Amino acid sequence: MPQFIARRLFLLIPVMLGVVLVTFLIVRLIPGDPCVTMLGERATPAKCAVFLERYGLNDDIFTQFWRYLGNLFTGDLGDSIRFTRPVTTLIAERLPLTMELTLLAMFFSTTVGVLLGVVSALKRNTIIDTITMIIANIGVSMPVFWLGLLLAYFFALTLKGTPFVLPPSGRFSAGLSPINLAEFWGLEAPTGLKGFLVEFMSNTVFINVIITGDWKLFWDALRHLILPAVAVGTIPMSIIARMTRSSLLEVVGLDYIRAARAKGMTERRVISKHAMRNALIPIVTIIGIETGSLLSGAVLTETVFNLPGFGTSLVSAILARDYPVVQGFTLIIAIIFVLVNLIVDISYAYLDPRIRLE
Amino acid sequence: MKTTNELPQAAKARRRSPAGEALRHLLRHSSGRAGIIILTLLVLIAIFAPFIAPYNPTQILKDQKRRDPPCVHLLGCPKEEQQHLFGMDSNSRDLFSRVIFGSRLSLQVGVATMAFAILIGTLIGAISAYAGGWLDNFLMRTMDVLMAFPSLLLAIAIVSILGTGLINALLAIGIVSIPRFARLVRSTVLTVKDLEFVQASRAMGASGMHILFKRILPNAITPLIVQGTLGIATAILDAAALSFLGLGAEPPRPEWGLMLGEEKNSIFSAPHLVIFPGIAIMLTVLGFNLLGDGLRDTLDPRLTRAGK
Amino acid sequence: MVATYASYWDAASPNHKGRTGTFEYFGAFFGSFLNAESVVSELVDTNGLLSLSAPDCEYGGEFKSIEAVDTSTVKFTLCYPDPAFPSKVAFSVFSILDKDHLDLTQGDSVAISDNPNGTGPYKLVKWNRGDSVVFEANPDYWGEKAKTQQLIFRWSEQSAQRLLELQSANVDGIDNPGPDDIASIEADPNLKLYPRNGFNIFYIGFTNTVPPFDNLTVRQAITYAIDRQRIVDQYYPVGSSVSDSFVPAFVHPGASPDIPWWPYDPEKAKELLVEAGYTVD
Repeated sequence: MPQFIARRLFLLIPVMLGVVLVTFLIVRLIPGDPCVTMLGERATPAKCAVFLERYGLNDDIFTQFWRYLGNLFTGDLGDSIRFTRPVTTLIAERLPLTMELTLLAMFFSTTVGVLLGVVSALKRNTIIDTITMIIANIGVSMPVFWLGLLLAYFFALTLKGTPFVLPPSGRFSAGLSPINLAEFWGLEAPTGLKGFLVEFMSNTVFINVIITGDWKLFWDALRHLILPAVAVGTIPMSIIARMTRSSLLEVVGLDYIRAARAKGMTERRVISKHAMRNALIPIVTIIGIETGSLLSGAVLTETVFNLPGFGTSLVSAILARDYPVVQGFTLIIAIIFVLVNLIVDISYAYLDPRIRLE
Repeated sequence: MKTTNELPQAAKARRRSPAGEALRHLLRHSSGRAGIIILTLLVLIAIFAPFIAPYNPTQILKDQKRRDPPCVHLLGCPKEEQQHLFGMDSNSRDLFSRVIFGSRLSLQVGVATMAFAILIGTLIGAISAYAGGWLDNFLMRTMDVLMAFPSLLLAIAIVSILGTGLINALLAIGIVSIPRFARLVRSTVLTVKDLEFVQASRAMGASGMHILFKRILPNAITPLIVQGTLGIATAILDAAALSFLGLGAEPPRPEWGLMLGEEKNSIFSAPHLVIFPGIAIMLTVLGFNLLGDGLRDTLDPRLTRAGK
Repeated sequence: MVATYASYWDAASPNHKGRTGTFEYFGAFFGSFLNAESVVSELVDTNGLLSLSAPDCEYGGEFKSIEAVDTSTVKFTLCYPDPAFPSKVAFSVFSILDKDHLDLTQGDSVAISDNPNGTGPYKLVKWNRGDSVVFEANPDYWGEKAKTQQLIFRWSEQSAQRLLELQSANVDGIDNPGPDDIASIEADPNLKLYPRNGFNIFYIGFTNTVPPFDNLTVRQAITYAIDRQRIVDQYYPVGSSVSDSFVPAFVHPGASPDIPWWPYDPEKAKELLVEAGYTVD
């Protein structure tokens, strides 16, 4: 097992280098003079000379790349051109929300998906099976942003006055916000990695609430994330439901299951004890694949629900030619994605010993 | 009651084409059947759009009210008012006509992106598998890097390089879909490359190209068709998403995602503007998903054991 | 810590045409700096009263000198008459700041935004970037005290979302309802609509260095071809009007209602295009 992990980590290196190169190049390939785009009407040749010098855009591409790599290793992702604040600070402010949204969506899609799949498989070829599969098929075909709009309208307006009402936009209710951990701990404006971690943890509601005990904030944040999470998670939920069903059915026809049944095990135990473990393998794969779709869905949902997350700031940075932000953010997303796939590969190997030998 | 005269004919094997066989199986499969029905309807609507749609989809009907709710004469709308089955949008255009013509755009988007991705992906995958060595490694690592980004975000990034617009959105989605097909073709070629019938071909003196195209690639067709069909579904969703964000189809094209993006603020005053294009997207994508499922189950013998 | 300051324009001053402005500040502390790279000037400290003057007006800017006359008066001497000066000086980004605060933040705009030291009716409590800005009433305000203890700003780009928040009682008020939502707001007994002057002009500009827009006749033709009244009727809330100047009509100085704009005349547009060498169908 350790060798497997080591081997996988080693294979990661060329991919990560490729990712760094691609993010660097993508940003340089965006057409439009960054100075003119940033400064607009105030862009005079004199100002642009200063601008290009300040952001090191005058040097040739190799020098820029080398400098970029060097900065990466010290954790310096540059400053946003629009906000003149470090990209790392922006990441610490924006990423936690998207991560929470993605995790909640993943939780929703896995639990509901597996449940539907199991119910479907247990009651195969009955009306329940048909209905759940129809739901799954429709779910996989829905545009995320459309679903988000409809959910927001229904839960905020149609259900107004009922206890089921949910807020249609925003991350917190007006007036509530996470307590800054730096203040909470009495730290004096921490910088560097420590500053990043403190800011990141302050903005991650779950961690913040455990430290400060502000559970009211937690429930408020959760209520605001439910609808976006459902919107984002519906497609993966449907895929997982179908995959669970078919993989359970496939496994259930195998000999060792028949043996278990012949031994007298109840159907429920057969499924939960024997079938699920093998059925989990493709489910775990799907989770890995769907993280990408979850992250993409997060971008769309953040727009619909007005959440100040990673996705919206990335899109606006791209449109505004804010190079450092685009670079830093894309890199982070790719890293996360690659790491998630790595975890998926490893749990794959854990679930199926045959893979470890590859 | 068969007579002895028919025996010699009965001995001749009935020649059924594999495609016909597949179609027969597909129609028996409930998902496949539903998918084919939906898509046939869609294709007919797309082909006959000018006849079905009462108005030009980009024509602004100046004399009529904006954002009118649907007016269907059969359902009680007074005969003096112009009939608009789906109502009017914010620019005084007939929504029904726009949704109908939108089917053309979505079909074109789906098929074009997949054709592009399959073509290039097959090329890359075949070259990679056949050449082996460092070229294989390099190409596959490049595919890995492309797959390291969530597809929509990568598409957005590509669109920001190429510029917005439907063609560029198509290219972006196509590029993002290439790795999937490259890997598929590569693994098929690798599996089949050393099988006996291929070795026999080589022994008989067939050239590399001939082997590649005539013997190996046909094995890839089945999974390519399945993945391609399912890929059309996601391509349509991605194109709608890009248009929704303002990065894809440019106005006044009647693209469903663009319609949703333009009218998302009308959800209170004119909910029909949000409901109908959304349903159109959903049904189209559903059709392709069902068809893809059906194809996968009928064409891939390994899965038939598991039933549906 | 800045106490409070109020300013009023001394309209009776013989200089009020704009060359020199004398502002009375009530308990203000004065501190300012000029960009040292663009102007050669000296900050002179006379018994705690600062003053700064440019050697001449050649540097191209508006100020000749800024002097603290006494602890509660600042004198601005301008290089040229500027009738908009009082408005400019009242604008928040040009406000006079507390010297200690400036020394603390080094004049860095980000640091100042994070920790502002102002004198308005509300004080900043928290800026949740991307989400909201939270204020609370300033007990030391020199003028009419704030009506609410707390004030929170949130924003959304989508008018439907703003309305949804209002209707679901998550916010107490919204600005800029969508033009098509006005009817539903008026119909809703729980909501009240307050019209206000709109500050926006919608205009289309030509890049006159790019063909065919480098041809004056073409630009005129396009101007004649646009039916502005119809655009106003179709897309803008009731009460909007076709504008004939770049500045809303109620803004003075600025609006120039006596200068005519080109009318909607599609026939003339076609004529001009033909004149410019294009065929029109």
